[in-house]
Amino acid sequence: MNISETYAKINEPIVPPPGLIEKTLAKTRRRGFPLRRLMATAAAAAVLLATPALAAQTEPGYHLLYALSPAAAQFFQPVQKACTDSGVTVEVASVRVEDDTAQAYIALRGKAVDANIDLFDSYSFHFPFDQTSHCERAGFDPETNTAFFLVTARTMDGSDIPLGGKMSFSLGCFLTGKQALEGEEVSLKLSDYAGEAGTAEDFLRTGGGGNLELMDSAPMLRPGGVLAEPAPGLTVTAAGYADGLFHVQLCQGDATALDNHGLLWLEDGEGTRLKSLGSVGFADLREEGDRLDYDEYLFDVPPEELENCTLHGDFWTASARIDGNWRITFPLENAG
Amino acid sequence: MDTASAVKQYGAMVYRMAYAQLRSRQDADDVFQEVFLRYHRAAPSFESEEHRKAWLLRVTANCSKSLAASPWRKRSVPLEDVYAYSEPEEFGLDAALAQLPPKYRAVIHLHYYEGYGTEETARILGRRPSTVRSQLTRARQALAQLLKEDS
Repeated sequence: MNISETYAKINEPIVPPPGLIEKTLAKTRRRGFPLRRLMATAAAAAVLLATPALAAQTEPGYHLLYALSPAAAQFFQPVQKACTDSGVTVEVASVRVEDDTAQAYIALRGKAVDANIDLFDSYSFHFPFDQTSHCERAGFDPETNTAFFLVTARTMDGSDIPLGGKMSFSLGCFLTGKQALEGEEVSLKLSDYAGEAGTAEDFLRTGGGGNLELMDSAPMLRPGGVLAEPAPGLTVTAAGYADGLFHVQLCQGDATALDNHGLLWLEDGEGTRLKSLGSVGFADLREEGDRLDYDEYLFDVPPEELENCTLHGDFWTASARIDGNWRITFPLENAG
Repeated sequence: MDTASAVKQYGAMVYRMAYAQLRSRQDADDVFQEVFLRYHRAAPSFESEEHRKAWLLRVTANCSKSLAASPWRKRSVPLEDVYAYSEPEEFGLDAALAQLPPKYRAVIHLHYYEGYGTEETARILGRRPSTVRSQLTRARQALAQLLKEDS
């Protein structure tokens, strides 16, 4: 199946009904502020003003209110410029507001924090207005074990940042001990694995890269003991031939926990790189809560050439994930 | 460009993006109205048509995300609220898409239908390019697996 073509076809009938277009345009043509809408707004305001605790004190109340009105939800959020959980303090360090842009430096301080900290996409922002925003690592102070992140938000329509608004920053976890090892040679004598290897059936195929046909059909080698450990948390657990291709299996541990991953290739005696035909992902989910992920690399190389080949790779790992529940809220005004 | 012209030119694009994420005609209707009402109220100025298109897709993605998170949104979707397909390939792909998380469907839609690359998709969705890359890879992997199971 060609996904692009089929996806285009299934989108053909998806069009707004004529009635919807008319209804939408009719709303845009309305002048003034209709009485019914005015009354509804007044009633909503009365409810919201009478029950600020709904927004301020309970998590579901806050999310409910944010879905209805981001401005109201943020208005009722109490200012809390620092929050500590799991031994790590998240704190707003400074805020700058200019025209349509607001920027805030967020500091993460604690023993577990290091220079290569990764927020693992577990953060979120809440603003009282429509915006585009992003977060980037800005620096690290080794003396205080503090990492700084810069959050930048711009209003969607280019208007100035509304006065008196508040911003919330939430974080659910982060990774520490991240390191990248690039172009590493893996200590594995490939010619020792020039024979046929046993395969396994009972693993979940999770995808892969490169050759799509192989991704769907290539067998997986039965994982064994550790043959090599090219990086902390990444181990080679099988190697050998299956269906005429040379397989090297890299075990990532629980890839969803630390995002450990790698990329393998072979090099011949002259240092020429021999790329894999593709990789196939497998997961062992048999033990609940004890997931193991594998990436298996497939090479089109005859057994007699393995003598002259060496295994190499790039590896990215983290040593720990710190989970917590951090949320800070602060006024969007120049400070710090 | 006034709102009527924007609806004429970009209405289908907005509606498809909303439906791709929410998979409900009724929800797509709500997002469609909200997006063009915001367009009308904000009357934003754009550097180019590409900028206008990206703005509309961005607002659509945001509105869809907000609606999906709304505690008042119906969790079950009536049959007449979804598009049905009779061709086996279309039916299979649609059924596989239904099983993906909305954040993956948004990436798939922008990539396969709107033809955006990773960087542009990341800007529209407010995600990091590396996140979009990994979500696209995972979405493709999941689709491949689901289509294989279906066949």
